[in-house]
Amino acid sequence: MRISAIKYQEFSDEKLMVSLQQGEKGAFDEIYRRYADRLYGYFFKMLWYNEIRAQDLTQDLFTKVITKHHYYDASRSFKTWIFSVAANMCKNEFKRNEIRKNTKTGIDHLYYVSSDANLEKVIHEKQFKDALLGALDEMDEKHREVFMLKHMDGLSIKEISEIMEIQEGTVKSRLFYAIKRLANQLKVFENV
Amino acid sequence: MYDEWVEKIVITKLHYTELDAEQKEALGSYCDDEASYQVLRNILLLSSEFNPPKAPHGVKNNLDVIFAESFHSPPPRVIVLSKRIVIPILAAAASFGLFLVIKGFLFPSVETPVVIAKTTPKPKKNYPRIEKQPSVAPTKKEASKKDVFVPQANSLRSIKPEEFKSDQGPTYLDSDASFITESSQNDQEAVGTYAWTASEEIIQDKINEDIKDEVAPRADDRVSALQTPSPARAVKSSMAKTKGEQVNRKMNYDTQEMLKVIKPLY
Repeated sequence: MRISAIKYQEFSDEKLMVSLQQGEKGAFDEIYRRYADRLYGYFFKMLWYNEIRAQDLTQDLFTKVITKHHYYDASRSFKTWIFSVAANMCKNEFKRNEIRKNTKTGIDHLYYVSSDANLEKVIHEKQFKDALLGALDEMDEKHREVFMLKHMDGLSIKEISEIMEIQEGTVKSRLFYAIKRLANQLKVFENV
Repeated sequence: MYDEWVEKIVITKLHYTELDAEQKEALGSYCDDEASYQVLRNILLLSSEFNPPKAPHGVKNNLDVIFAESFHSPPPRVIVLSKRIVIPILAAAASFGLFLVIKGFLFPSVETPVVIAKTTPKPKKNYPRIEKQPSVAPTKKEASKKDVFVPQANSLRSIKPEEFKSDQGPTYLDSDASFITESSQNDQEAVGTYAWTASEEIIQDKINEDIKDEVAPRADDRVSALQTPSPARAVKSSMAKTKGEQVNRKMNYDTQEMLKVIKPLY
Protein backbone atom coordinates (compact mmCIF):
# COMPACT_ATOMS: atom_id res chain seq x y z
CA MET A 1 0.00 0.00 0.00
CA ARG A 2 2.80 2.36 0.91
CA ILE A 3 4.71 1.41 -2.23
CA SER A 4 1.74 2.17 -4.46
CA ALA A 5 1.21 5.53 -2.69
CA ILE A 6 4.80 6.52 -3.34
CA LYS A 7 4.45 5.45 -6.91
CA TYR A 8 1.35 7.58 -7.49
CA GLN A 9 2.90 10.59 -5.80
CA GLU A 10 5.49 10.67 -8.54
CA PHE A 11 2.85 10.70 -11.24
CA SER A 12 1.71 13.85 -12.99
CA ASP A 13 -1.94 14.81 -12.77
CA GLU A 14 -2.56 13.67 -16.31
CA LYS A 15 -0.89 10.29 -15.76
CA LEU A 16 -2.90 9.82 -12.60
CA MET A 17 -6.05 10.46 -14.54
CA VAL A 18 -5.09 7.85 -17.13
CA SER A 19 -4.52 5.38 -14.32
CA LEU A 20 -7.86 6.31 -12.81
CA GLN A 21 -9.55 5.65 -16.14
CA GLN A 22 -8.17 2.10 -15.86
CA GLY A 23 -9.80 1.72 -12.47
CA GLU A 24 -6.77 2.18 -10.23
CA LYS A 25 -7.95 3.28 -6.83
CA GLY A 26 -4.52 4.59 -5.78
CA ALA A 27 -4.59 7.10 -8.62
CA PHE A 28 -7.92 8.47 -7.46
CA ASP A 29 -6.67 8.73 -3.87
CA GLU A 30 -3.67 10.75 -5.02
CA ILE A 31 -5.82 13.09 -7.12
CA TYR A 32 -8.12 13.61 -4.18
CA ARG A 33 -5.18 14.31 -1.91
CA ARG A 34 -3.84 16.96 -4.29
CA TYR A 35 -7.04 18.79 -5.13
CA ALA A 36 -9.71 18.13 -2.53
CA ASP A 37 -8.80 20.94 -0.15
CA ARG A 38 -8.11 23.45 -2.89
CA LEU A 39 -11.41 22.77 -4.60
CA TYR A 40 -13.30 22.71 -1.35
CA GLY A 41 -11.77 26.08 -0.49
CA TYR A 42 -12.63 27.38 -3.96
CA PHE A 43 -16.27 26.39 -3.53
CA PHE A 44 -16.27 27.71 0.01
CA LYS A 45 -15.06 31.15 -1.09
CA MET A 46 -17.08 31.30 -4.29
CA LEU A 47 -20.30 30.26 -2.60
CA TRP A 48 -20.04 32.84 0.16
CA TYR A 49 -18.62 30.53 2.79
CA ASN A 50 -21.44 28.02 2.79
CA GLU A 51 -19.73 24.92 4.16
CA ILE A 52 -22.58 22.49 3.46
CA ARG A 53 -22.95 23.59 -0.13
CA ALA A 54 -19.19 23.57 -0.65
CA GLN A 55 -19.07 20.02 0.71
CA ASP A 56 -21.87 18.89 -1.62
CA LEU A 57 -20.25 20.45 -4.66
CA THR A 58 -16.85 18.98 -3.80
CA GLN A 59 -18.38 15.51 -3.61
CA ASP A 60 -20.28 16.09 -6.85
CA LEU A 61 -17.13 17.25 -8.57
CA PHE A 62 -15.10 14.17 -7.61
CA THR A 63 -18.05 11.95 -8.45
CA LYS A 64 -17.84 13.38 -11.96
CA VAL A 65 -14.14 12.63 -11.99
CA ILE A 66 -14.97 8.97 -11.21
CA THR A 67 -18.05 8.38 -13.31
CA LYS A 68 -17.34 10.71 -16.24
CA HIS A 69 -13.61 10.21 -16.46
CA HIS A 70 -13.95 9.45 -20.19
CA TYR A 71 -14.81 13.12 -20.79
CA TYR A 72 -11.31 14.08 -19.76
CA ASP A 73 -8.88 14.62 -22.61
CA ALA A 74 -5.42 13.46 -21.55
CA SER A 75 -3.79 16.03 -23.81
CA ARG A 76 -5.28 18.80 -21.69
CA SER A 77 -4.10 20.00 -18.29
CA PHE A 78 -5.96 18.19 -15.52
CA LYS A 79 -5.80 21.21 -13.22
CA THR A 80 -7.37 23.40 -15.86
CA TRP A 81 -10.02 20.77 -16.58
CA ILE A 82 -11.05 20.18 -12.99
CA PHE A 83 -11.13 23.90 -12.15
CA SER A 84 -13.20 24.60 -15.25
CA VAL A 85 -15.68 21.95 -14.11
CA ALA A 86 -15.72 23.58 -10.67
CA ALA A 87 -16.21 27.03 -12.22
CA ASN A 88 -19.15 25.76 -14.28
CA MET A 89 -20.69 24.22 -11.18
CA CYS A 90 -20.40 27.56 -9.42
CA LYS A 91 -22.04 29.32 -12.36
CA ASN A 92 -24.94 26.87 -12.18
CA GLU A 93 -25.27 27.65 -8.51
CA PHE A 94 -25.33 31.34 -9.25
CA LYS A 95 -28.05 30.79 -11.83
CA ARG A 96 -30.17 28.86 -9.37
CA ASN A 97 -29.74 31.77 -7.00
CA GLU A 98 -29.85 29.35 -4.10
CA ILE A 99 -26.77 30.71 -2.49
CA ARG A 100 -27.11 33.70 -0.30
CA LYS A 101 -24.23 35.83 0.76
CA ASN A 102 -23.10 35.01 4.25
CA THR A 103 -20.07 37.16 4.79
CA LYS A 104 -20.43 37.21 8.54
CA THR A 105 -20.07 33.46 9.00
CA GLY A 106 -17.01 31.59 7.95
CA ILE A 107 -14.62 34.45 7.48
CA ASP A 108 -12.91 33.64 10.73
CA HIS A 109 -11.85 30.26 9.32
CA LEU A 110 -9.83 31.94 6.58
CA TYR A 111 -6.90 33.24 8.52
CA TYR A 112 -3.63 31.77 9.48
CA VAL A 113 -3.08 31.97 13.23
CA SER A 114 0.53 32.54 14.08
CA SER A 115 1.25 32.30 17.78
CA ASP A 116 4.72 33.80 17.68
CA ALA A 117 3.77 36.71 15.44
CA ASN A 118 3.51 40.24 16.63
CA LEU A 119 0.06 40.71 18.12
CA GLU A 120 -0.34 44.19 16.62
CA LYS A 121 0.63 42.92 13.24
CA VAL A 122 -1.76 40.00 13.54
CA ILE A 123 -4.64 42.27 14.43
CA HIS A 124 -3.76 44.59 11.62
CA GLU A 125 -3.65 41.75 9.09
CA LYS A 126 -6.92 40.32 10.41
CA GLN A 127 -8.67 43.65 9.95
CA PHE A 128 -7.22 44.02 6.51
CA LYS A 129 -8.29 40.51 5.45
CA ASP A 130 -11.79 41.09 6.72
CA ALA A 131 -11.98 44.22 4.66
CA LEU A 132 -10.48 42.45 1.65
CA LEU A 133 -13.00 39.62 1.79
CA GLY A 134 -15.80 42.09 2.27
CA ALA A 135 -14.66 44.00 -0.79
CA LEU A 136 -14.45 40.80 -2.81
CA ASP A 137 -17.97 39.80 -1.83
CA GLU A 138 -19.26 43.08 -3.09
CA MET A 139 -17.45 42.64 -6.38
CA ASP A 140 -19.26 41.17 -9.37
CA GLU A 141 -18.77 37.43 -10.01
CA LYS A 142 -16.56 37.50 -13.11
CA HIS A 143 -13.99 39.86 -11.51
CA ARG A 144 -14.13 38.13 -8.17
CA GLU A 145 -13.63 34.69 -9.72
CA VAL A 146 -10.61 35.81 -11.72
CA PHE A 147 -9.04 37.42 -8.69
CA MET A 148 -9.62 34.33 -6.51
CA LEU A 149 -8.24 31.96 -9.11
CA LYS A 150 -5.17 34.11 -9.57
CA HIS A 151 -4.28 35.18 -6.04
CA MET A 152 -6.00 32.64 -3.81
CA ASP A 153 -5.70 29.44 -5.83
CA GLY A 154 -2.43 30.36 -7.51
CA LEU A 155 -3.39 29.66 -11.11
CA SER A 156 -1.63 31.35 -14.01
CA ILE A 157 -3.30 33.74 -16.40
CA LYS A 158 -3.19 31.12 -19.14
CA GLU A 159 -4.85 28.55 -16.94
CA ILE A 160 -7.55 31.00 -15.91
CA SER A 161 -8.22 31.83 -19.55
CA GLU A 162 -8.63 28.11 -20.32
CA ILE A 163 -10.84 27.51 -17.29
CA MET A 164 -13.12 30.47 -17.94
CA GLU A 165 -12.80 30.06 -21.72
CA ILE A 166 -11.86 33.69 -22.26
CA GLN A 167 -8.86 35.43 -23.79
CA GLU A 168 -5.75 36.03 -21.70
CA GLY A 169 -6.10 39.76 -22.34
CA THR A 170 -9.57 39.60 -20.87
CA VAL A 171 -8.18 37.89 -17.78
CA LYS A 172 -5.54 40.57 -17.41
CA SER A 173 -8.02 43.40 -17.78
CA ARG A 174 -10.35 41.80 -15.26
CA LEU A 175 -7.49 41.36 -12.83
CA PHE A 176 -6.44 44.98 -13.28
CA TYR A 177 -9.99 46.15 -12.66
CA ALA A 178 -10.36 43.91 -9.58
CA ILE A 179 -7.08 45.05 -7.99
CA LYS A 180 -7.78 48.70 -8.76
CA ARG A 181 -11.19 48.43 -7.17
CA LEU A 182 -9.85 46.64 -4.08
CA ALA A 183 -7.13 49.23 -3.69
CA ASN A 184 -9.68 52.00 -3.80
CA GLN A 185 -11.94 50.28 -1.27
CA LEU A 186 -9.04 49.50 1.10
CA LYS A 187 -7.55 52.98 0.93
CA VAL A 188 -8.58 53.46 4.55
CA PHE A 189 -5.70 51.15 5.55
CA GLU A 190 -3.11 53.45 4.00
CA ASN A 191 -2.71 55.37 7.17
CA VAL A 192 -2.69 52.29 9.46
CA MET B 1 -3.60 45.99 -17.73
CA TYR B 2 -2.43 43.56 -15.10
CA ASP B 3 0.60 41.34 -15.61
CA GLU B 4 2.37 38.74 -13.55
CA TRP B 5 5.53 40.80 -13.12
CA VAL B 6 3.47 43.01 -10.73
CA GLU B 7 3.56 40.21 -8.17
CA LYS B 8 7.31 39.77 -8.58
CA ILE B 9 7.89 43.47 -7.86
CA VAL B 10 5.59 43.44 -4.84
CA ILE B 11 7.26 40.32 -3.40
CA THR B 12 10.84 41.49 -3.92
CA LYS B 13 10.46 45.15 -3.01
CA LEU B 14 9.32 45.90 0.54
CA HIS B 15 9.03 49.69 0.09
CA TYR B 16 8.06 52.03 -2.68
CA THR B 17 11.37 53.83 -2.40
CA GLU B 18 13.18 50.67 -3.54
CA LEU B 19 11.49 50.75 -6.92
CA ASP B 20 13.32 52.17 -9.91
CA ALA B 21 11.76 54.60 -12.35
CA GLU B 22 10.66 51.91 -14.76
CA GLN B 23 8.97 49.90 -12.01
CA LYS B 24 7.27 53.00 -10.61
CA GLU B 25 5.98 53.74 -14.08
CA ALA B 26 4.70 50.19 -14.46
CA LEU B 27 2.89 50.33 -11.10
CA GLY B 28 1.63 53.86 -11.68
CA SER B 29 -1.91 52.75 -12.31
CA TYR B 30 -2.06 50.98 -8.91
CA CYS B 31 -0.05 53.14 -6.56
CA ASP B 32 1.91 56.36 -6.49
CA ASP B 33 3.28 56.50 -2.93
CA GLU B 34 4.43 54.30 -0.05
CA ALA B 35 0.96 53.98 1.59
CA SER B 36 -0.82 52.91 -1.55
CA TYR B 37 2.09 50.58 -2.39
CA GLN B 38 1.68 48.86 1.00
CA VAL B 39 -2.07 48.43 0.41
CA LEU B 40 -1.33 46.83 -2.94
CA ARG B 41 1.25 44.56 -1.32
CA ASN B 42 -1.24 43.43 1.32
CA ILE B 43 -3.94 42.77 -1.27
CA LEU B 44 -1.72 40.54 -3.37
CA LEU B 45 0.18 38.79 -0.59
CA LEU B 46 -2.46 38.37 2.09
CA SER B 47 -5.01 37.10 -0.34
CA SER B 48 -2.84 34.01 -0.88
CA GLU B 49 -2.67 33.37 2.85
CA PHE B 50 -6.27 32.47 3.25
CA ASN B 51 -6.68 29.20 5.04
CA PRO B 52 -9.90 27.64 3.82
CA PRO B 53 -11.25 24.71 5.83
CA LYS B 54 -10.21 21.26 4.67
CA ALA B 55 -12.60 18.95 2.93
CA PRO B 56 -14.43 16.76 5.45
CA HIS B 57 -13.54 13.05 5.66
CA GLY B 58 -17.12 12.07 4.99
CA VAL B 59 -16.69 13.25 1.40
CA LYS B 60 -13.80 10.86 0.86
CA ASN B 61 -15.67 7.91 2.34
CA ASN B 62 -18.65 8.53 0.08
CA LEU B 63 -16.38 8.83 -2.94
CA ASP B 64 -14.68 5.52 -2.08
CA VAL B 65 -18.06 3.79 -2.21
CA ILE B 66 -18.87 5.46 -5.52
CA PHE B 67 -15.51 4.42 -6.93
CA ALA B 68 -16.02 0.81 -5.83
CA GLU B 69 -19.44 0.71 -7.46
CA SER B 70 -18.12 2.21 -10.68
CA PHE B 71 -14.97 0.18 -11.24
CA HIS B 72 -15.27 -3.01 -9.24
CA SER B 73 -17.72 -5.82 -8.66
CA PRO B 74 -20.87 -5.00 -6.72
CA PRO B 75 -20.84 -5.48 -2.95
CA PRO B 76 -21.92 -8.83 -1.45
CA ARG B 77 -25.35 -7.47 -0.60
CA VAL B 78 -26.17 -7.33 -4.30
CA ILE B 79 -24.99 -10.92 -4.74
CA VAL B 80 -27.37 -12.07 -2.00
CA LEU B 81 -30.22 -10.35 -3.80
CA SER B 82 -29.29 -11.99 -7.09
CA LYS B 83 -29.22 -15.42 -5.42
CA ARG B 84 -32.78 -14.87 -4.34
CA ILE B 85 -33.70 -14.53 -7.95
CA VAL B 86 -31.51 -17.29 -9.30
CA ILE B 87 -32.49 -20.03 -6.83
CA PRO B 88 -36.22 -20.08 -7.76
CA ILE B 89 -35.31 -20.14 -11.43
CA LEU B 90 -32.99 -23.10 -10.88
CA ALA B 91 -35.66 -24.88 -8.82
CA ALA B 92 -38.24 -24.39 -11.55
CA ALA B 93 -35.83 -25.65 -14.19
CA ALA B 94 -34.98 -28.73 -12.11
CA SER B 95 -38.65 -29.56 -11.51
CA PHE B 96 -39.37 -29.22 -15.20
CA GLY B 97 -36.53 -31.57 -16.04
CA LEU B 98 -37.80 -34.06 -13.46
CA PHE B 99 -41.25 -33.83 -15.00
CA LEU B 100 -39.85 -34.64 -18.41
CA VAL B 101 -38.00 -37.68 -17.05
CA ILE B 102 -41.10 -38.99 -15.28
CA LYS B 103 -43.18 -38.42 -18.36
CA GLY B 104 -40.67 -40.38 -20.39
CA PHE B 105 -40.99 -43.34 -18.02
CA LEU B 106 -44.76 -43.27 -17.75
CA PHE B 107 -45.51 -42.79 -21.43
CA PRO B 108 -42.76 -44.52 -23.30
CA SER B 109 -44.98 -45.56 -26.25
CA VAL B 110 -45.20 -42.02 -27.46
CA GLU B 111 -41.59 -41.68 -28.28
CA THR B 112 -40.33 -45.29 -28.65
CA PRO B 113 -41.62 -45.88 -32.22
CA VAL B 114 -39.66 -42.90 -33.35
CA VAL B 115 -36.54 -44.29 -31.74
CA ILE B 116 -37.06 -47.71 -33.26
CA ALA B 117 -37.69 -46.24 -36.65
CA LYS B 118 -34.49 -44.34 -36.39
CA THR B 119 -32.45 -47.34 -35.25
CA THR B 120 -33.75 -49.94 -37.75
CA PRO B 121 -31.26 -50.61 -40.53
CA LYS B 122 -32.09 -49.84 -44.08
CA PRO B 123 -33.63 -52.75 -46.00
CA LYS B 124 -31.28 -54.43 -48.42
CA LYS B 125 -32.08 -54.45 -52.09
CA ASN B 126 -33.74 -57.64 -53.24
CA TYR B 127 -31.55 -58.74 -56.03
CA PRO B 128 -32.94 -61.62 -58.16
CA ARG B 129 -31.69 -64.90 -56.90
CA ILE B 130 -29.76 -67.02 -59.34
CA GLU B 131 -31.16 -70.43 -59.31
CA LYS B 132 -28.68 -73.21 -59.20
CA GLN B 133 -28.88 -75.44 -62.15
CA PRO B 134 -29.15 -79.11 -61.43
CA SER B 135 -25.85 -80.90 -61.54
CA VAL B 136 -27.55 -84.02 -62.77
CA ALA B 137 -29.30 -84.06 -66.13
CA PRO B 138 -33.05 -84.44 -65.92
CA THR B 139 -34.50 -87.71 -67.00
CA LYS B 140 -36.59 -88.07 -70.07
CA LYS B 141 -39.69 -88.34 -67.98
CA GLU B 142 -38.97 -85.04 -66.24
CA ALA B 143 -38.05 -83.35 -69.46
CA SER B 144 -41.15 -84.47 -71.20
CA LYS B 145 -43.27 -82.79 -68.50
CA LYS B 146 -42.09 -79.40 -69.68
CA ASP B 147 -43.95 -77.78 -72.52
CA VAL B 148 -40.85 -76.45 -74.20
CA PHE B 149 -39.87 -79.91 -75.33
CA VAL B 150 -43.07 -80.70 -76.99
CA PRO B 151 -42.63 -78.96 -80.39
CA GLN B 152 -39.03 -80.10 -80.77
CA ALA B 153 -39.48 -83.61 -79.53
CA ASN B 154 -39.23 -85.11 -82.98
CA SER B 155 -36.24 -83.10 -83.96
CA LEU B 156 -34.42 -84.04 -80.80
CA ARG B 157 -35.14 -87.65 -81.30
CA SER B 158 -33.70 -87.50 -84.75
CA ILE B 159 -30.46 -85.99 -83.47
CA LYS B 160 -27.99 -88.17 -81.74
CA PRO B 161 -26.02 -86.17 -79.15
CA GLU B 162 -22.99 -88.36 -79.68
CA GLU B 163 -22.64 -87.03 -83.23
CA PHE B 164 -21.86 -83.52 -82.01
CA LYS B 165 -19.51 -84.54 -79.26
CA SER B 166 -15.93 -84.21 -80.20
CA ASP B 167 -13.30 -86.49 -78.86
CA GLN B 168 -11.86 -83.80 -76.67
CA GLY B 169 -15.18 -82.72 -75.35
CA PRO B 170 -16.66 -79.24 -75.33
CA THR B 171 -14.38 -76.25 -75.03
CA TYR B 172 -15.02 -73.79 -72.29
CA LEU B 173 -12.55 -71.21 -73.50
CA ASP B 174 -13.57 -67.60 -73.88
CA SER B 175 -12.36 -67.63 -77.49
CA ASP B 176 -14.84 -70.33 -78.33
CA ALA B 177 -17.73 -68.65 -76.58
CA SER B 178 -20.25 -66.99 -78.87
CA PHE B 179 -21.66 -63.77 -77.68
CA ILE B 180 -25.42 -63.75 -78.02
CA THR B 181 -26.68 -60.36 -79.07
CA GLU B 182 -30.11 -58.94 -79.36
CA SER B 183 -30.07 -59.19 -83.13
CA SER B 184 -29.39 -62.88 -83.10
CA GLN B 185 -31.86 -63.71 -80.34
CA ASN B 186 -34.85 -61.38 -80.49
CA ASP B 187 -36.88 -62.87 -77.73
CA GLN B 188 -34.09 -63.79 -75.46
CA GLU B 189 -34.24 -61.92 -72.16
CA ALA B 190 -30.69 -62.47 -71.09
CA VAL B 191 -28.79 -60.35 -73.51
CA GLY B 192 -25.03 -60.57 -73.61
CA THR B 193 -24.65 -64.02 -72.13
CA TYR B 194 -22.26 -66.56 -73.44
CA ALA B 195 -23.23 -69.87 -74.94
CA TRP B 196 -20.44 -71.98 -73.76
CA THR B 197 -20.83 -74.95 -75.96
CA ALA B 198 -20.20 -75.19 -79.67
CA SER B 199 -22.45 -78.17 -79.83
CA GLU B 200 -25.33 -76.04 -78.67
CA GLU B 201 -24.90 -73.87 -81.73
CA ILE B 202 -24.94 -76.85 -83.97
CA ILE B 203 -28.09 -78.17 -82.35
CA GLN B 204 -29.74 -74.80 -82.65
CA ASP B 205 -28.85 -74.53 -86.35
CA LYS B 206 -30.26 -77.94 -86.92
CA ILE B 207 -33.49 -77.09 -85.24
CA ASN B 208 -33.81 -73.85 -87.18
CA GLU B 209 -33.41 -75.66 -90.46
CA ASP B 210 -36.13 -78.10 -89.47
CA ILE B 211 -38.45 -75.27 -88.60
CA LYS B 212 -37.77 -73.54 -91.90
CA ASP B 213 -38.59 -76.66 -93.74
CA GLU B 214 -41.80 -77.16 -91.91
CA VAL B 215 -43.21 -73.62 -91.59
CA ALA B 216 -41.53 -71.06 -93.86
CA PRO B 217 -42.78 -70.64 -97.43
CA ARG B 218 -40.58 -71.79 -100.23
CA ALA B 219 -38.46 -69.42 -102.28
CA ASP B 220 -40.14 -70.33 -105.63
CA ASP B 221 -43.48 -69.48 -104.07
CA ARG B 222 -42.14 -66.09 -103.07
CA VAL B 223 -40.76 -65.45 -106.57
CA SER B 224 -44.06 -66.38 -108.22
CA ALA B 225 -45.88 -64.19 -105.81
CA LEU B 226 -43.69 -61.28 -106.77
CA GLN B 227 -44.19 -61.95 -110.45
CA THR B 228 -48.01 -62.04 -110.19
CA PRO B 229 -48.97 -59.12 -108.01
CA SER B 230 -52.69 -59.85 -107.60
CA PRO B 231 -54.20 -58.26 -104.43
CA ALA B 232 -55.56 -61.54 -103.08
CA ARG B 233 -52.23 -63.22 -103.55
CA ALA B 234 -50.41 -60.34 -101.99
CA VAL B 235 -52.65 -60.45 -98.93
CA LYS B 236 -52.22 -64.17 -98.69
CA SER B 237 -48.47 -63.90 -98.97
CA SER B 238 -48.27 -61.16 -96.35
CA MET B 239 -50.45 -63.18 -93.99
CA ALA B 240 -48.27 -66.15 -94.52
CA LYS B 241 -45.23 -64.00 -93.89
CA THR B 242 -46.52 -62.67 -90.58
CA LYS B 243 -47.63 -66.13 -89.56
CA GLY B 244 -44.19 -67.45 -90.39
CA GLU B 245 -42.53 -64.76 -88.30
CA GLN B 246 -44.73 -65.55 -85.35
CA VAL B 247 -43.92 -69.19 -85.62
CA ASN B 248 -40.26 -68.37 -85.93
CA ARG B 249 -40.36 -66.34 -82.74
CA LYS B 250 -42.11 -69.10 -80.88
CA MET B 251 -39.65 -71.62 -82.17
CA ASN B 252 -36.73 -69.47 -81.13
CA TYR B 253 -38.14 -69.13 -77.65
CA ASP B 254 -38.69 -72.84 -77.41
CA THR B 255 -35.21 -73.46 -78.59
CA GLN B 256 -33.82 -71.26 -75.87
CA GLU B 257 -35.76 -73.10 -73.21
CA MET B 258 -34.64 -76.36 -74.59
CA LEU B 259 -31.01 -75.32 -74.57
CA LYS B 260 -31.26 -74.42 -70.93
CA VAL B 261 -32.29 -77.93 -70.16
CA ILE B 262 -29.83 -79.62 -72.51
CA LYS B 263 -26.84 -77.57 -71.41
CA PRO B 264 -26.15 -79.48 -68.18
CA LEU B 265 -25.87 -82.69 -70.15
CA TYR B 266 -22.52 -81.53 -71.45
